[in-house]
Amino acid sequence: MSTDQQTFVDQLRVEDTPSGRRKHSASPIAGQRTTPLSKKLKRSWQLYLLLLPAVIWVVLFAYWPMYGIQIAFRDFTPVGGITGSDWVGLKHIEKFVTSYNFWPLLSNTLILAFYELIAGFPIPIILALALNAVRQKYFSRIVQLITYAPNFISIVVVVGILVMLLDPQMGIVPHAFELLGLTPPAFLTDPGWFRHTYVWSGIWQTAGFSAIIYLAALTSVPPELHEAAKVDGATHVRRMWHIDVPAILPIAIVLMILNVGSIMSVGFEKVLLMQNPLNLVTSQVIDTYVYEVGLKSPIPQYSYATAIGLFRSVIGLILLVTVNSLAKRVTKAGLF
Amino acid sequence: MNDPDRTDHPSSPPSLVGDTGTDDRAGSVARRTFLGRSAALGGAAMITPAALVGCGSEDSAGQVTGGDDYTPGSADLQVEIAPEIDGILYPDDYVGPRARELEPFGDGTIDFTILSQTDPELDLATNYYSTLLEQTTGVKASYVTVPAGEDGKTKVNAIVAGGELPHALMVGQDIFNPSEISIYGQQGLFIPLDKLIDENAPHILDMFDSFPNMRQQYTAPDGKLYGVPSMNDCYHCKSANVRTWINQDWLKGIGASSPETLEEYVSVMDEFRAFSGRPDASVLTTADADTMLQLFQFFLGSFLEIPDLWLRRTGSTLEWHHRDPAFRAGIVWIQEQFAAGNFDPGIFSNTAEQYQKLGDGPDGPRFGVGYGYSTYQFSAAADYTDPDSAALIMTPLAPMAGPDGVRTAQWDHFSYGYLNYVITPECPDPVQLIRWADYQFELGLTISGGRGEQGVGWDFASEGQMGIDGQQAVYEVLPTPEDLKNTAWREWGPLYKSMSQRHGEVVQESNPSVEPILFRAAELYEPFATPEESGVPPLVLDMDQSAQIGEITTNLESHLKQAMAAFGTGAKDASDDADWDEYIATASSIGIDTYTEIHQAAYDAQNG
Amino acid sequence: MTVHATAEVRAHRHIKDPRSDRILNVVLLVLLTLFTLTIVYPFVYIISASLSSPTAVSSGEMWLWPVGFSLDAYQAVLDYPAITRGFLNSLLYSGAAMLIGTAATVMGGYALSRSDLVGRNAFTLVFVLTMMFSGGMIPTYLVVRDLGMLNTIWAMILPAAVSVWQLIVTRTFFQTTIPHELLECSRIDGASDLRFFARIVLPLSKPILAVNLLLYGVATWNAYFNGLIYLTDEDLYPLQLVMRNILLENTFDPSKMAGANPDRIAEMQQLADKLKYALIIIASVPPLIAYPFVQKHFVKGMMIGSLKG
Repeated sequence: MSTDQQTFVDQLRVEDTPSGRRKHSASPIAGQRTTPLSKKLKRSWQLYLLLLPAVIWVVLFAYWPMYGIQIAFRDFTPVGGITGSDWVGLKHIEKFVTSYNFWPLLSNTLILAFYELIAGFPIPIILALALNAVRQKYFSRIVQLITYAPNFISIVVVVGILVMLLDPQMGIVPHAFELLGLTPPAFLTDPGWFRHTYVWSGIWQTAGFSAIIYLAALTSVPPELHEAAKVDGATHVRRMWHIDVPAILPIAIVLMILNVGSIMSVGFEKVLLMQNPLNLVTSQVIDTYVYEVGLKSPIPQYSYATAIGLFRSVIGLILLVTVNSLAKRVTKAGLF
Repeated sequence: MNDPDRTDHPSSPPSLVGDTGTDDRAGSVARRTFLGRSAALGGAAMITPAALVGCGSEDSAGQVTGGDDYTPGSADLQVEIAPEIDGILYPDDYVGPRARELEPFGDGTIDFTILSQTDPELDLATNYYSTLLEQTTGVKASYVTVPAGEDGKTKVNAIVAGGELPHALMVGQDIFNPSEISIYGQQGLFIPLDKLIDENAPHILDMFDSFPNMRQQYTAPDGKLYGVPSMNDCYHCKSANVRTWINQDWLKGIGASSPETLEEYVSVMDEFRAFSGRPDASVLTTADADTMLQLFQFFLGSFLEIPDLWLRRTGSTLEWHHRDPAFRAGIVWIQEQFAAGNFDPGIFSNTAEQYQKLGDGPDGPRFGVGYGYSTYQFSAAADYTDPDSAALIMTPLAPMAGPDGVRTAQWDHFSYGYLNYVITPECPDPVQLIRWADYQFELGLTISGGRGEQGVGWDFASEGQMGIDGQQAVYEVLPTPEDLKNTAWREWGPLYKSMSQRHGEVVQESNPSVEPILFRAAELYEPFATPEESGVPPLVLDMDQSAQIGEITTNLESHLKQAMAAFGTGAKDASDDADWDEYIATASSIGIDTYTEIHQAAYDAQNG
Repeated sequence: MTVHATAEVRAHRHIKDPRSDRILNVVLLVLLTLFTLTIVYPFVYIISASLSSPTAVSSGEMWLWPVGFSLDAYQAVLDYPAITRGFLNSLLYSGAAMLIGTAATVMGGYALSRSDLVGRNAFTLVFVLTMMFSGGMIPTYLVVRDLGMLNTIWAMILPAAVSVWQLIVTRTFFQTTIPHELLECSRIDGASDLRFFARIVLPLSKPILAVNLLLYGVATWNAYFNGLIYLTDEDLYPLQLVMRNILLENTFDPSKMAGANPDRIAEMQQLADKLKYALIIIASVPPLIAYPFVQKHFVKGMMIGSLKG
């Protein structure tokens, strides 16, 4: 492996960390560690200017409405409004945590979400690497375009097609199993198979779209690195592993961390559409449950729904902070 | 009126300003300043929803509603009922809206805002019925529209929570249920209508006279009526919840007639199984996962009176009837049918589309017996002119006698109408808006609301034309040309469709519809109807009860569905005491007793 | 990099490919083809369904090629003025959201990528937190109302203008692709941060610009909820909301409605069945067409090229 390439990889791995800055201690940027804070702020006012639009947006549309979270601790009614409804403290969270099927709901949600996260994480990366590696660029472009497309089919239609393909009587897939002399599993009704069907059909639908980010990141790899490595006799697999993977690793880690943060919100609409009494043991998740409860309540349960949402967010935050610090320790790259 | 403060900040209706107090008012000042600035900066059009302009003050509202002390029915009518139009043919036992000469009363000076559902084919601003209504009443209205269904409900919730109330809301059946209207009414979001109706709505009162239970059924537990009830009394709907169909082609194929008892049912199933004319991949008795409980309820009716899947009433006591041995016997029988292959295991997993696919098979329906509110449930391609359509091959199957001779079917005695029109405190002149609704309880407007222009979409019937119930018809529906789509409303507005009115429609031989089929189905089921005394009328729940009931209902339903799946697939055995006790015990831990108590309390509050 | 150099590199590559690389290429070709085929089938199905009679689709007769070929569905779609209007509205909203969102994201993402930005981690946390905690529908509605944006095009663009997810991805992209040396060089030349951003960073970030434009455009194209909540004027409805109103209108439960008209329910259902697949195709065309434009910017070697130049 060439030193050129090694430097590139190092740079990717450590750039984001204090030690990275120390490595460039001779540079004018690193020198600023001794500059007083006020001077530093003054010098980078232009950076703050660049950041300003995003900050204004986050303040207006994300933080201003956040006072609404307090309805998780109130009995919200439209007439009382957000600040005028009765304060009830942790009543709603308590009600959820002590409800009849809290534990099955929590474990169903977590298992499904982690399965989706773990299975869904490497596939787009592999797809992007493969698309990038194929020599027939024309072929690669067509495949990209096609694999990106399912992302635009609505969930209702995807589930409709899924049900049609997997129908035990008339579906093509069970027929194919039978032709091969195998007993087809009950894809849609077996509680165990529900998770596989859900997760893999999701990957099928989104992998192409998710690969876009990685394809963009791969453009930062200078072709010279590949050429140099080739001269050194590295095989393509080795080059992918040592050149391409490090190039997309920072983004991959960041995406992983972000996904962990929103792990509790599994695709509620799709789960709902795939639910039936036979797979309910594994398919009832927090979101579908809240939806059903809302539907069967004579009055919309804003406060209860918000409290459950808050509960979910707090779990997400804990997971995110944990994974972030783990990532920082292991790969020296994190979110913050 | 036109208080500038209120225009910008309408979130607290007048009667509640005291409660929400200082916080909100401080907020309104800050918001107003910001609003002014951002509008000036961005040059964005300042949108003040028309709904905010011209709010009613508490004083005028107090006068027209009579305040808390008003006794319903105590005020005298100040408006006369409109004179009848001569020459309309009513059958002798006709009870319902009559055609009347309506004179405009409004002067069009106020632009009322009325919320309505809509659908993508309509534009209420230019709609024929909207125009007709404006001409007939003289009331000028602008419509704030929301999509039909759940999306519309979400949007209305945002509008309500945001405090931008229109003057009136036509909430159809799926936006606000009676509990919501009662609770929001008590909170001051809607005004009580008793005095307004008593003084200004002769046509609504005429309906109340004809149907004496109606006013009481829709009155909130606090004794006030917060919404105008519309009547849509549908005869066939009363049995729709358990309506089950049988395949006539297959029956002919085996040379049998419809089974009258469960025993005959089983032998018909045996013959169906052996019948060589069955299409490939067909099943015997089926439904889909959403309607499976309805199918089971149909069969359970052969074991006990089951007016509702959860509760039955004896006198004024409500009871969860799953502890009844007859209920268990029914479940055991259903379990046996699954084991024998008479019931299709697909019942537990079919989606609505899969079920339709079974019905629309190219060689005729792929099932022998199935549930269906109407034919669309099992046939997306229903065609009433094509004898090979599943819609005609499947015919209603009457309830069958069980082993002990029990032969009943749920009959819904209570759902003949719904509250669907509410007036808010924002309304500057509630009298005009109640009269606007009142006029729509006249026959011509009620029909035009669904069919558009008289002479184009419908007309009065002539002597000798027969209605759905076989008597002299009152009116005839004319086939509407394609380019006249935007002429009617759906059933969102105030309307008065009594059973006589609905049955007064001419049966069209040339343009067959499903109505006559469903009418005959209802006739088939009515002799076995569960009595009114055993049914639980629709109950109005308060805030706390509503908060509890949603969760319990969700869990009870999924518990029952999962238990049925376990019995049906043989994972559990309903005839085994341990398994059955577990079913009962789990229902208890979910809160079946709380469920019963809440309904009992609500029943007592309304009927006590 | 010159064309000549690229050609040379290609020629060079051909000669020196080891055998294992050729095998790998074949394996990848086969796997990608298989994966693509699993996607092609449902698409052929949807296209065929949009060209078949609804009866053939619902009965399962149609499973690959159109049965009872007709263009009725597309004709019916065109008969709906609401659909054409929604299509144009959506194009406008997506176009505006692409530009505004990408501008804010790329500028913010670059600022956040600079390790010398004081408070960088705090800012990042402030953004990331909003991915998990939100005020909910009603408070957001009140904010949009108080800003005077209800029932305007801004309600379709601004509340969802910035995706924090994309902001973080963009930040990471800059961190990994803009070498420190470049900033140091330009500092020595006396260039300001803004100048460096405009002259050096932006030209180097075509791929991430393209990705941001695409993702914002697609997200706005697919969004319906803001339209549902914030718009009351049906003339402003985006395509997805119009579609939803047509397709999902029949999802209510008739058993809970007194006197629901079964003929009307059946009619709505048949209309939905008829339009469903044609609508899916019409709604997917713009994002699909957009992709090749984006793909064009995934060209390698830009950075090194500009460094040398």
